[in-house]
Amino acid sequence: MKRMNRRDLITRAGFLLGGLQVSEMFKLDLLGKLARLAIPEANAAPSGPKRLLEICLRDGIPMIQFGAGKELASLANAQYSNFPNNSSNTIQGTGTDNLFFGPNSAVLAPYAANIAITQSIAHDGSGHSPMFNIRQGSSALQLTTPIITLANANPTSSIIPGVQWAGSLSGSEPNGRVVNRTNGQRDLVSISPTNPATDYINLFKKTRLTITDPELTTVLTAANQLSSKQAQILNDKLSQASSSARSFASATQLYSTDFTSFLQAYTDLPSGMNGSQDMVKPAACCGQPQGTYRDEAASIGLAMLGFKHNLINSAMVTVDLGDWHPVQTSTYSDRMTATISRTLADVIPFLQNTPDLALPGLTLWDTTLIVVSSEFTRAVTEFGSDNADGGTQGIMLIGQNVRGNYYGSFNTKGSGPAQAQGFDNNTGAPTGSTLNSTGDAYRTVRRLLGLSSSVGEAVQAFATMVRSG
Amino acid sequence: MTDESRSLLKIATSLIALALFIGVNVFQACSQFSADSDSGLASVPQMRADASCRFIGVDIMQARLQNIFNIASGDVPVLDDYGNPTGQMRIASNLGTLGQAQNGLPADYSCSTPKLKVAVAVMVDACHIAVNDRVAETWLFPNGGADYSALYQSLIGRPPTADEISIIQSATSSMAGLQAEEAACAIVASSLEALIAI
Repeated sequence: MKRMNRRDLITRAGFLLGGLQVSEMFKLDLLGKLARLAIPEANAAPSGPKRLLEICLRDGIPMIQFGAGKELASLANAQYSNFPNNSSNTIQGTGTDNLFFGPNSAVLAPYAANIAITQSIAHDGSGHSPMFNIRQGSSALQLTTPIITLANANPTSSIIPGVQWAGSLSGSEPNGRVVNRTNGQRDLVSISPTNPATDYINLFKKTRLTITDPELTTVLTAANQLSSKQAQILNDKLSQASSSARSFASATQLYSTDFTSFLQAYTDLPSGMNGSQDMVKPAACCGQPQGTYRDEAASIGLAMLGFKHNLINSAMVTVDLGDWHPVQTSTYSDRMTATISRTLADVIPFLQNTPDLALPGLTLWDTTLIVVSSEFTRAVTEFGSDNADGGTQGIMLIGQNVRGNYYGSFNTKGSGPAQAQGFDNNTGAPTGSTLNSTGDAYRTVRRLLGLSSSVGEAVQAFATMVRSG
Repeated sequence: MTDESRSLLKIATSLIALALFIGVNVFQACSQFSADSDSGLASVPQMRADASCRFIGVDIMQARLQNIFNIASGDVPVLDDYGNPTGQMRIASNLGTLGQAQNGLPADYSCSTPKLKVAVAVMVDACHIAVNDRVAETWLFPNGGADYSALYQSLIGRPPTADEISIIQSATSSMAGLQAEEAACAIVASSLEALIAI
């Protein structure tokens, strides 16, 4: 007998529910709950992409630095420091009708059909915050950060579910660290900012112990068996005991194989992923050591090698300027945009050309979502004016299931800051001054990761950014 | 009506009956999987892997080395690739990985793979030191190397089951003397139940 999957169940049960005098939303949610009850695996395994590379931009880095809509790209003269381009130097993204790139991000144009950018998400709560409200639904909702949910599910059975590069050595928050909302789940493994490449590679270094390798193999095999037995005994005292035993098994792999040679090859990666590019900071900025951004490019390269060899499921990398103000009208913002764009333009073909060992027949491009988010963005002021706090929030989504375009727009009429304009979640049509919500951006990320099994949640996502299929 | 249609009807009817008659229970059951609440939206199921797994802290690990393995420093040396001491100590050089509170961050007792990796290294090397120390060896194996009762009681807090004894015996069957004791100690000390707080 053919095994019934969740979609079958919803389709079949939905047919009969159609006659009941209840609302459509109630019916859909009821069906979703029934499916999860009837098919336990619906509770754990996300469908769709199963890895996440998340790049968190601190200090109010604007998303329109990377790509903007035609109202900004068609300006005869560059008018705003956040998008210092005009009609003569912008190019339209391939396969899009409203995504334009300036010279610093032009390397992304060939991939534009899978890049969605918006800066029309309403400001939510205070400005500087390591919590990134966009990553927890909103300042009020405090939902679990998607990368935490995905890493805990670890659908690729990677050795280490998720890692997080802490970011800069200084800044307004401890270690420039972006904080995840875990709600009791396991947090990402934090990589020291002092020597990030070495610290990360050492996670996968085989440890020399006092006993011989054959003895160690015997010990660990038996310890694994013992742990499984203990997990059975502990099941009534410790929920997820068997999951803990699996984590134990993953740890023991690190004694049987030295994976470091896979990772040390990061220096051979393209320039955007090997740390050879630098982004020099202005002297007045931040007081951080030079080379921090080089570490971030290398961190992304190392994360990609971790994906390639299935050492990690997901990774988060922080870009921390320390302060935006010294950067906003200088050549440094151009260099920052160019550096991050170069990295993304190298990562995308890497994903497209690399098989996913955890999912035979698929490439990492099939399984990975890239999310670039900004804790907040600045007011889009004209040249010469300060980009004060109080703008909107921004997000850039990159992936096979992402419908590329710039979503939303800016009112560029008159003088003063350009005001962000919202878009309809489903059609992308302009909504004027009605902006979009952080909650819906959060739901969009979950939907693209296959984590939104609630129909209601999926409905509220930016459906216009999601390719069906 | 075809057989398949009848089958589908039966399935759907059962599900609807389930929803209508024990609907409250259904929703309660689903909520067990939920970590998120979302303004009236249906809760999203979460796999709370290791949510209740609490790893032993650095203080417990050090106390175990001192009081059970008779290692006064409460730590073991880090070896280089050739087996020579590097001058560093295993716990002291991995305090962050082991979840010790530092740099303004609170202590982390969650169970992570890197933490397990370090803990296994500590326990395996501690067992090597302990079985080669007459005092500690007597504590761990007072009735000889084939009796794991004291070892289990010290590290797990209960006697071993028959299945567990069988696993250890099978693994050490080709070993003799201190080598077998060292392996048995390492197996138990680096097992799940020894490394987590119940």
